Amino acid sequence: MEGSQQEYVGSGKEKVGEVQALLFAKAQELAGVSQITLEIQKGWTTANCFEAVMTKYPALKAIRSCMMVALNHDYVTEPVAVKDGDELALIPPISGG
Amino acid sequence: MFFVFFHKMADFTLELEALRVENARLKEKLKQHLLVEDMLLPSSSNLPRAVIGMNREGGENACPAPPWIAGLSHSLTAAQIQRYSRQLLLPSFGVKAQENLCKGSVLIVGAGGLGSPVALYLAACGVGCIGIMDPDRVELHNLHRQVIHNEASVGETKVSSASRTCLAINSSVKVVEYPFGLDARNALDIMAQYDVVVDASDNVATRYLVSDACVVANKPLVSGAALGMEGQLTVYNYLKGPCYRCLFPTPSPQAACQRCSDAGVLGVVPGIVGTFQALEVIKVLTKVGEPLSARMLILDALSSRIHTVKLRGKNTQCVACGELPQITHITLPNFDYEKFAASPMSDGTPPREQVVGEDQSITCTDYNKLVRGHKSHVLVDVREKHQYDIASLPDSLNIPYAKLPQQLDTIRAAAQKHKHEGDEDMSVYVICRRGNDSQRAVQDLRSAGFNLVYDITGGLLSWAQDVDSTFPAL
Ligand SMILES: [Zn+2]
Repeated sequence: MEGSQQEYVGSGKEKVGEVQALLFAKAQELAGVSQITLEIQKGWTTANCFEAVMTKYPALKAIRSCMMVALNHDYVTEPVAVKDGDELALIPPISGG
Repeated sequence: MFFVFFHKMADFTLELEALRVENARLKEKLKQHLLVEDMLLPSSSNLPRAVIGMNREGGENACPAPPWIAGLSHSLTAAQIQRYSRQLLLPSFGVKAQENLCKGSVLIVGAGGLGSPVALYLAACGVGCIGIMDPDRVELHNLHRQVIHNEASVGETKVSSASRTCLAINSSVKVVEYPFGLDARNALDIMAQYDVVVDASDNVATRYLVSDACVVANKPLVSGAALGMEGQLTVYNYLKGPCYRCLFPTPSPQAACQRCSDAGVLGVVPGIVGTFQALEVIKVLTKVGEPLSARMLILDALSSRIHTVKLRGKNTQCVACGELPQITHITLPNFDYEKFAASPMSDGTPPREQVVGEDQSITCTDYNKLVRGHKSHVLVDVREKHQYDIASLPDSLNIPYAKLPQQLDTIRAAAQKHKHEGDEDMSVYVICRRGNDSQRAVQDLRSAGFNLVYDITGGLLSWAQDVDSTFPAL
């Protein structure tokens, strides 16, 4: 829940840009961070970014099937190519009231 | 002189009698009027109690026609015009929108943190009929966020408390009380009587049920949720927009959400989300503005940021609203939502899990005897530190469950320290809030080679119940 926590995930390979991954609700709690900077490689899609986040934070795998993924504030169902400066959001539903 | 007086008396008596007759006639007329209005509003045939504000404004009061001319196109009374004047003055709103509100009906599922502002604002702005549904009673720990209730309503049903507050604000609206939970069998019948449904519930199972029932009953759903410092808001099933299942076809796995370390919530967060829900209801009922359909608003209260994510359209494969729906008015009443969501239709205590056997646990009462007998031991409290800091048992060691694997040596050292010459192995007792995490910890510690590890059954909640009623168990 610490809103300012950020992480940097480098791929070590040919870097073509960076994508900011924003984690919400339970995803933020499980990962312990709210924002991740992902180094992306050539040809990467939202699916690659998603997997990179799962690899870095395996705790997120528990809720991988129930998270909504949005690229630049647009919901994505199929993998979409990402580019430098994109913003990826992982949004699990919350149910409290 | 006497005669004149007597004559006046007779006059007076006659007049009084005439007034009495007139009064009875008007009362009857008023009764008829209220009955007719009730029939126009959602029926209350299968309902326990419908509360109607008695100071109905407007209507025919046997008064002479007012010396002013109402706009030909509307039916608002002088009292309504006065009451709603500040929203009538809005150019984008006006009399038509107000008429739609006054004719409109809304079912609010949940009279808690979200439902409070929804009901308050909808009553205040004049929504004609407000159904409020909630099986719970008001508790003291509700009051920091459920602002429709107050200290005097602790112990009362939430619906009756909420209804009283709504009518105190606006006695001209009708409030229908449902002091029970929404379930698969009652959902469709109740929803059929309303124009819009508000999901202000507090659990996953109810959220799927509300969404499915709205699809089957063809009602727009204004859905809000709040937890911790975050909120989410969407209008589902509106025009061609998606439903809840289109976005979240599979519920969160139980493991990820049912821990002892339940997240808290800051009161204003559901307050903000619920207020947004009231706004969306007003927009849907009045057709003013652009409802939050196929979009999700996400409130991050910590950073004061609001994100709006554009959502997908309907999923053609959706089991509820897709091309071949499996959830219909026939199947829905028999659908087991609690099983599907693997969680109960309440936010109350999650079911107690049984992870370790009786030979590896001790009741609070027995543990208390052991402490009083000064038997040396180690007590480990596996709650999160911020919970531990609120209140804890004396001489306990706080090792949050998540950090247990790295802290085994700390426990070993504590056991060593308490050990006297010739003692056998030191017993370790584990406690948490409700006794679920502590059982997992006992399992983990046994796997790590600790032999005498015991779970204190039921955790600190049981401690407060069975041993020390002054302990502030949360
Ligand atoms: Zn759907």
